[in-house]
Amino acid sequence: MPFSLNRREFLKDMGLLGIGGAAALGPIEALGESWSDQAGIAPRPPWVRSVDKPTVEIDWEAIYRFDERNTVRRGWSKYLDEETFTRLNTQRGTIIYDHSNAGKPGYSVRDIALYKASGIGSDQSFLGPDNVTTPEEGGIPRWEGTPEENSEMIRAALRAFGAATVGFVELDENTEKLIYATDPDGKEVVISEEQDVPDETEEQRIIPKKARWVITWTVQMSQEGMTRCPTPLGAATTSMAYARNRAIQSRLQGFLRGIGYYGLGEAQTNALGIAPAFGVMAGLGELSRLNRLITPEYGPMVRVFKMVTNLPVAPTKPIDAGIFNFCKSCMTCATYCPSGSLSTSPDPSYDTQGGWNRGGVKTWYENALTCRNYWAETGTNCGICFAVCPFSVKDRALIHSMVKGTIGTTTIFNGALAELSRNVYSSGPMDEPQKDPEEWWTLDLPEYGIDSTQGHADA
Amino acid sequence: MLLWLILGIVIGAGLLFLKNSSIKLAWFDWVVLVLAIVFYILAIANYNGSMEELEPRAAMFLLASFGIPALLLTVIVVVRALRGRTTA
Repeated sequence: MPFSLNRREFLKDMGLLGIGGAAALGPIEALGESWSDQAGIAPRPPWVRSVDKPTVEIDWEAIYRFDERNTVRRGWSKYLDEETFTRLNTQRGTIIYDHSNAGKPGYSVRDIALYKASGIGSDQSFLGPDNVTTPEEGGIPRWEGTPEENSEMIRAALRAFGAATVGFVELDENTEKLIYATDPDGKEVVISEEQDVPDETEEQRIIPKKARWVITWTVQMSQEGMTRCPTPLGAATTSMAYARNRAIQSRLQGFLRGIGYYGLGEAQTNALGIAPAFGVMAGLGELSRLNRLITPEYGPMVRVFKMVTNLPVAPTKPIDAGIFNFCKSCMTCATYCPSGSLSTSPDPSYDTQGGWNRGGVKTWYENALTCRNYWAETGTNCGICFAVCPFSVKDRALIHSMVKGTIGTTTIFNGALAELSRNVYSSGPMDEPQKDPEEWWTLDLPEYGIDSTQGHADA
Repeated sequence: MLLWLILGIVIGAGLLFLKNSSIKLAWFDWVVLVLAIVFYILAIANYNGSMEELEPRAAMFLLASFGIPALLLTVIVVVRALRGRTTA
């Protein structure tokens, strides 16, 4: 048959060609990545909804300012008898070399070296560096902007410094309780109405009551690294994120100083306040069965950090992306946890597991002691629960947007989707790396092993 | 992006050819065909994406999950078109 077209038919058919093109390109745009909100607010897909209250139930009356030394991170010894603690603590320091000598995958000399070297980085302090010239010293006026402009500016600066997502919490009588009463080093954290200037003494860190805002941000971790947990190779990912943040924190403190304000940071790892709690209140993610933050963008593949400031910023609201509800159906982390430290109860509860849990939140409290004790068997900080979480995925495949969109819209498919994810992604043995540690050394991964374009609109 | 552009042109050209050829399709055949195309796109997109994510198992699973329905739908349209031609 001869193939001929008149002008009208040609124009009509070009429209058909366009539909074909749109059909091919359409799903990528329609399912979220290019959706953006108002300027300065992190672009998020429509199924990540801002809500007035977090998805996790909080009894603010039961919340009090916690002593960080009660966490197992700092207070491990107080939950064990002396003999057990000494044995496990010694074992934790030496077992990686025993595993290495036994030829255990992920424990080679180069894996251990990478782990040990990944934690090297800048210092961190409560008051921050003082080597950035203040506007006053330079003879120029300090920055003045609306809270919205300030939020936008801080978000841009933090991204430039290496943070992933950024949110803001205004301190009130409730959120103030999320600041630790005592820091890991035993210094009391005082919120002072009398003092206008922050200070640090031998016994105290002073936060002026006028500093009413908390900047909260995440630092991405590498999925390819974490899937090699619980080996030193996998643990290098966590160490790297903390090390990167020490630089990010100091830079943000320097930036705030440079515009005429101050930022009060973590004096040590996990100091100042409860990171997941601030992450939840700032809408960076939702609390989860891990009793940690899960973000819509990176799942739990983040570390969460915070800084108190006197720069007025516009608070961001908590979110509902269906994550907390999904955890009710999904037991993957609890199933794969080698020490059985995570709750397998379908529903969250106010019942705590020990003195390391402060309580007051209806969540899945973890047995942090058995978790920490297991670290003595790996010589690392494990991390399997992060690695197997269904939300710990990259965003290259379209299916993730479809699944997350479904989870954020309805709960009826949650059980099936969790099961599917377990079968397709979490394929490794129970207490070993999900992926081959040796293979990691052959990969051509981007800087820090992370895709810094993930979760952002502008590349 | 180039892949999608090429795929868009190929799909458009395919539809153009079908429309101007002697093969006559009923309206519901077109619906099934469009559905098949959507499944092909999802199969290719998810296979590619999962391979980029270094998840070959997920890639194969998703290729099969979307590719097999796409093939079945295509077969339905082809069989119906051939039958239509035979009876015509």
